[in-house]
Amino acid sequence: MDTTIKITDLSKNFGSKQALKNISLDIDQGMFGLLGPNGAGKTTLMKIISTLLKKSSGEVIVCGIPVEKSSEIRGLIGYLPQDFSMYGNMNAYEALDYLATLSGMKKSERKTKVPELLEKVNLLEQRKTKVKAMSGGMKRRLGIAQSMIHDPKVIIVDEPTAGLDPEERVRFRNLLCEIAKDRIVLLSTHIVGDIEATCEEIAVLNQGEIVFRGTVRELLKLVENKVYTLEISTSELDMMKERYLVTGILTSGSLTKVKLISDEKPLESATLCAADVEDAYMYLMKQQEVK
Amino acid sequence: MFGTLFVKECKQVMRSLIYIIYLLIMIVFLVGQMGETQVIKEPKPDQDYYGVKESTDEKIIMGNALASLVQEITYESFATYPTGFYKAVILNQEELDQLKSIVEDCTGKSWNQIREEEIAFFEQFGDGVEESIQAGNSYIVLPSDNLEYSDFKLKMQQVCDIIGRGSNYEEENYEKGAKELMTYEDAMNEFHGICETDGITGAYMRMFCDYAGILLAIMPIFLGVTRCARDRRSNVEGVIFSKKASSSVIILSRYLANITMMFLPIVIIALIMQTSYCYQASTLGVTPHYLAFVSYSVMWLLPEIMFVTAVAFLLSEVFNWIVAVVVQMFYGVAALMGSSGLQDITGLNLIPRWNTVGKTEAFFANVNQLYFNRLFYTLLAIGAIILTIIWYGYKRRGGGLYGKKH
Repeated sequence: MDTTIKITDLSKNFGSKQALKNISLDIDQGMFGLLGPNGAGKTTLMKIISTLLKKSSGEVIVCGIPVEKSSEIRGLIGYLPQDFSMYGNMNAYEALDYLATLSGMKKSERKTKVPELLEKVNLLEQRKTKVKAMSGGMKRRLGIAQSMIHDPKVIIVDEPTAGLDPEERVRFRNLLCEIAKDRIVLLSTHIVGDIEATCEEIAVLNQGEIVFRGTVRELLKLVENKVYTLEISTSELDMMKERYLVTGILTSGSLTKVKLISDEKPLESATLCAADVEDAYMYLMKQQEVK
Repeated sequence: MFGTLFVKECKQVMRSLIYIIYLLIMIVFLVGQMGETQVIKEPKPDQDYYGVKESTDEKIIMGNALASLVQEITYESFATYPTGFYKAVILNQEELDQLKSIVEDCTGKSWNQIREEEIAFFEQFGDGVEESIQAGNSYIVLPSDNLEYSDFKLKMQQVCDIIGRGSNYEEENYEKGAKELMTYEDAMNEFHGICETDGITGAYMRMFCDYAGILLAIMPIFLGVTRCARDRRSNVEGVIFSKKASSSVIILSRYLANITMMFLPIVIIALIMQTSYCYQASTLGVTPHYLAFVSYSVMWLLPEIMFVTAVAFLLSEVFNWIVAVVVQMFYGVAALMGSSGLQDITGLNLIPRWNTVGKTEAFFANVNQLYFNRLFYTLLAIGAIILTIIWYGYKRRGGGLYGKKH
């Protein structure tokens, strides 16, 4: 079975609002990042792939199966929604076992897979902890465990790190990278750091359209030799923000160190520096605004 | 998958607070009500009172209706059920005088004379509960000899015009409610019916079903809506919708688990109660019907649980739990109020009534109507749950009453 997602001319309308506008996208095995601001259409796209929303037009084929065949697709995908939760009175083991049953797993399979997955997401010791007593990070780890429990070909993860503390976020990213070895993990986020740390292939979605599709390296190329740092007087900061796309500010007394993006050297004192994905993303979004 | 899910759903129901409340209410109510039930005894020839039986004798029908009217005029309050719910009607003096005049016309006696006879009659009885019931059942105001039944009907129509809709003086109500005192022979016939046809236990189980049926028109609503609302409240709809299990497996496992968990305690309570009735049967030298507890429960109560739960599921999924509770509470109370008497298994009322131990012959004369009633609600339940499955499938693809729901 081919492990790909092929999206062709996909549109989704909610009444008069067009949430997705003729999107075409091919996604291959491995981690794939879907980046975009809130309201860009990321969740809508993920829900269509997960069969939780009907498309208005276009074609979505997951591992060779059209998304209209929802029961077949549901067996192939694992979905972690943005605000994953489970029944509060169930403990971690029961919750995972219940969702494994809904995924069609037999008792013998569940008996080995449930503890295995709990261990993988570092919840084995807390297997008897009730869901209502879990922290946000623990719930998210339980969520990723349930999305993998039936060994799906595609895992769809919607904003998985939102609200997590830095330590939990790093742990979660590492976990995603581990599980992406032999499947597609489609990660949607508006947190650029998540993409930078985990994905090679990405797409940037804005206002229902794909505004970038390529590798992280190609995204970085957009701002190659365009990112500068310089030290200015704090009073000049507003002026700099009006003229340039400022992506970093570090104020120390009357002096402020800024990081900005400019096609030309902004000031004599400015020095070129290495760009990161956040700079490239900001630059891309700014270009979209101008358009 | 279905069996495992079913077991898991049963466990979920068992752990819920609402289920504990359901069990407590059922046990307290049924034990309390059935504990007060009369003990079946063989009638003795010298008894003062053997109870009452339904009557089709026109004199008795007229006498019963007039007795009821005299008592309501005395208390200046008239029970009516205009929309199925009880409403006490209070009349002004002019209207009361008109009613008194109608009674006088029907009996050929003055109102004062009728009142004196009423007081004298009730003074013969003591203040105890049983004596009061006996007095109430025995009191009759006989019409004058020259009052034709057709004239009586016209007089009652005038009474209805004064009191309003849903009173005891509508033809259907006074004809159905007419009772006359049983003789020793009547009582013995009934006793033999209870022993031979019901094996004692059957008679008690009908009474049990009557009481349980009242609660089961309401209580399953709460368990049903709680199950459906739990997904939304716990925010698990999205993740469950994305799973491989079909909508029919998800909904049916939940539905059947709810029904099983509600029905099982009923059967167990019935079985426990039946043991004492079996003992009672043995003391009377009667072979009890050992399976009465399960046969009556399955035939009478299971369809009610199925229907109420299915509608709770449907309304909760399509609208929300508030709509389900409000609509079904209204329907349940209306069904209870709408019962035309304490022994009525005819028609399509959700709550058939048989609030008596015995009346075996009358019960079995109409039992086919009860079977039809229960079959009707079973089919409605199946229809409602099929609609729920279809709607759930629609919701899983992003559908909803108000557009996108998850």
